[in-house]
Order: sequence, then structure tokens, then C-alpha cells
Amino acid sequence: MPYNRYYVEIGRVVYLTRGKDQGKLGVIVDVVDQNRALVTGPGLKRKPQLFKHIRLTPQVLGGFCSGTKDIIVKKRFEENDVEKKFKESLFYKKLTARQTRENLNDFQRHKVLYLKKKMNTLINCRYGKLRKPVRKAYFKKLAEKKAKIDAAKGL
Amino acid sequence: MAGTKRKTPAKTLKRKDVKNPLIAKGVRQLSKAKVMRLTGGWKFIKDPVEAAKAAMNAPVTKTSPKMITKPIGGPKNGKERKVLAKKPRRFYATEDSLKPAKKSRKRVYRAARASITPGTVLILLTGRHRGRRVVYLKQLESGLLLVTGPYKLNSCPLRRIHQSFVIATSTKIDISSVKLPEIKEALFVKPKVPRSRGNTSKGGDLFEQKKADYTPSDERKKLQSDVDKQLLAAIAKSADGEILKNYLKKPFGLNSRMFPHALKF
Repeated sequence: MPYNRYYVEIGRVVYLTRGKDQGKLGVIVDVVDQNRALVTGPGLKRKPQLFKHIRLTPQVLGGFCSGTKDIIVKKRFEENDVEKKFKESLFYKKLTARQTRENLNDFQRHKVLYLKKKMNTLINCRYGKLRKPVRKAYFKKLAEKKAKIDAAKGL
Repeated sequence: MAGTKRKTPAKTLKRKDVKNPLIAKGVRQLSKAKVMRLTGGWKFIKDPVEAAKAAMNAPVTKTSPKMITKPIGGPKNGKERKVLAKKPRRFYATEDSLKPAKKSRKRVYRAARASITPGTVLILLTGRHRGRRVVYLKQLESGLLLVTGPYKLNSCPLRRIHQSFVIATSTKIDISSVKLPEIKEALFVKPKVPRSRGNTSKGGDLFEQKKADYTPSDERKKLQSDVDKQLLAAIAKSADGEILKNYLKKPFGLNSRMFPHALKF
């Protein structure tokens, strides 16, 4: 699968990873310098954010130029179902998975380990059962082949 | 200002409550008089005239004489001699000998912290059972926590441990059904065996003495099995009983990428 590179561009939807608005979505409206971009969005204060504190998502909103007003950004945001699309993305799934992992207590962590182990034994047992006749047939074939060669040598 | 009455505080403070920091070397912020006024120390100062009078009228207490006369034998010794009543010491150490430090710490009963309630699973951090997950039963009269593995699961017997050597997890087992027999602190105190120094002159041998291995008494074993039985039943009854059992069997440990400060217990 080709790797899709996401670029910093006007209209790029970003996920904020730090600060007060951590965990919210915003849109890049302007690029301030090589460290910061002006980010705004519904429920966000319009302000420059460090690139270190944002993550680019695959979504790009079209139809507005640099420095677009908040009202228009909000409108585009809702028109494109950005929030919904984000929640369906792989990134969001990984994020929530990580968060739930972090919030597990000691017993729950053990439970995951325990159930994983159980699942793996079940899978391995089933796999072994399926593998057994195949292997048996293969070794039988090998033995026959060898016997044939030996017989030929003996002649 | 002369003539004005000094304000005395309505409520006198205790000496320790009066803050009197050092301003410079040997100079305090408050004067002696000020401190006395705050603390009400003037109440306890005696009038010097009255004190002198009282001293005059005080009954004379008999003090033992410093010198006594002792009869002495021998013709040329003057028959008697004045001697100090209390003999001076015969030996004065040339060096100061170190005195063993006083044990100033008292064992104080500290209530278990809020996260530790009966039935809480704890992780032991010290001792020979360190790392094990155990069940907290109750607090003993000294404030130490009474815990057990149960013994059948992870071979941690009924044991005392201080709460600061323990991580309290959020996992709790309902142990309301467990009826603990009376367990007292004295049960855990090992009898003191006088230390023999292996002195050969007294018949002891330095190398012959062997430390006797600890073996629990039958009573103790019975107590343990009794508690274990009830506890295991309580564990089995709780949700995920099978996993909980396995959980208690396994010791706690850290893997790579596991940071104890970020973990939730």
C-alpha cells in the first residue's frame, strides 16, 4: 500500500495533542511560520498552534482561502461531517485503544494477558489439529520417495 | 506613648505558636518583652520582694553534710580525720565514650489510608514476599496491616506489613463472608532467643550452633487453612473468580514500556 503523505496546507484537518484543547479537531487556516499554523474550528479558540502539538489527519477541507473566518470554517466543518469521518478513521481507533489501555487497572491488565493467552491456546490447538493430517501426508510422501530412491540405488 | 495603657492580647498564645524568626545573627524579630506579652509569660514572673520573703520563711531542709569525721587508728595519725562524705570517682575516662542513641521513635497507630479497605488486593514491595499480590484482611492494634496470599495460591501466609510498603490496587474482593478468628499482634512476635556468643569457656561452640528452622505450629497451620478456605470461597464467588485466582497467583512485575508512575493500580 502506498504511503500517503499528509501536507500542512490550508484546510487540513488536525488533531490537537497538547494543551487546553487536547483531543479536539481543528482546521489549519493559515501558516504563520515554520513552527506554527493558525488553527481554528468549532469549540476552538482561533490561535497559532505549534506543529509539534498537532497531528495531521487525512481530511482536507476545500473551498476557502487563507485566513478564512471562523463562521465559514465552522460551516464547512459541519458540511463535510469531519467529526464523523474522523471517528471512523484508523487513527481514532488506535487512539481510543491506547487510551483504554492506559486506563486499565492492575487486575484488568492481567485479565487482558490471561484472556489473550487462552485465546492463543485455542487458536494453536485448532491450528495443530488442521495441520496434523497435512503434515502426516507430507511425511508419508517423503518416505515413499526416499524408499523409491533407495530401491533404485540398490539395483 | 507614655500614659497609654498597653494593649494586652485577649488570648495568650503558646510559646511554640509565636513566630519569632531570626533577622540577623543573634537578632530576633520580636523582643523578649513582646514575646512575653504575647505568651502571657508575665503572669508567671514572681515579684522579687515577695520571692525573697518566701525564701526567708521557707522551712529549712536538712542537707547531708559534705564532710564527715572518721576515727583513724595509729598513734601518730591524730585519731580522727575529716573525709568527704561522698567518695570522689576513682576513674575518669580520658575519652568520651559513645552512648547508644536513644530510641526516640514510638510506634504510633496510623489508620490505613482510604484506598486500603478489607478485601483490597495489595502488592507487597518489601520482604521475602515482595511483588506478590495479597489480600488485605484487617488492621492490627499496632497499625500494621494483616494480609494473606491466600497461602494456597501464592504461598504468602498470614503476615503483618506496614502500609507504606504496599501498593493498594483498586481491585477489591468482597470478604464480608469471611469470619476471621481473633488474630492478635502477639501471634506474629517471635520469642526472643538469648544470643549465645559461642564462648568455649562456658561450654558453647561457635560452629556447632545452628539456627533452628522456623516451622509453623499446628495451631498456626489450622488458622491459615481456616482463613484460606473462607477466602478462596469468597474469591470464587466474586465476578471473574477464575481470573482473580490466577491474578493472585502471579506476582506483579514491570515490562519494558511500563512506567510505574503512569500506571493505574
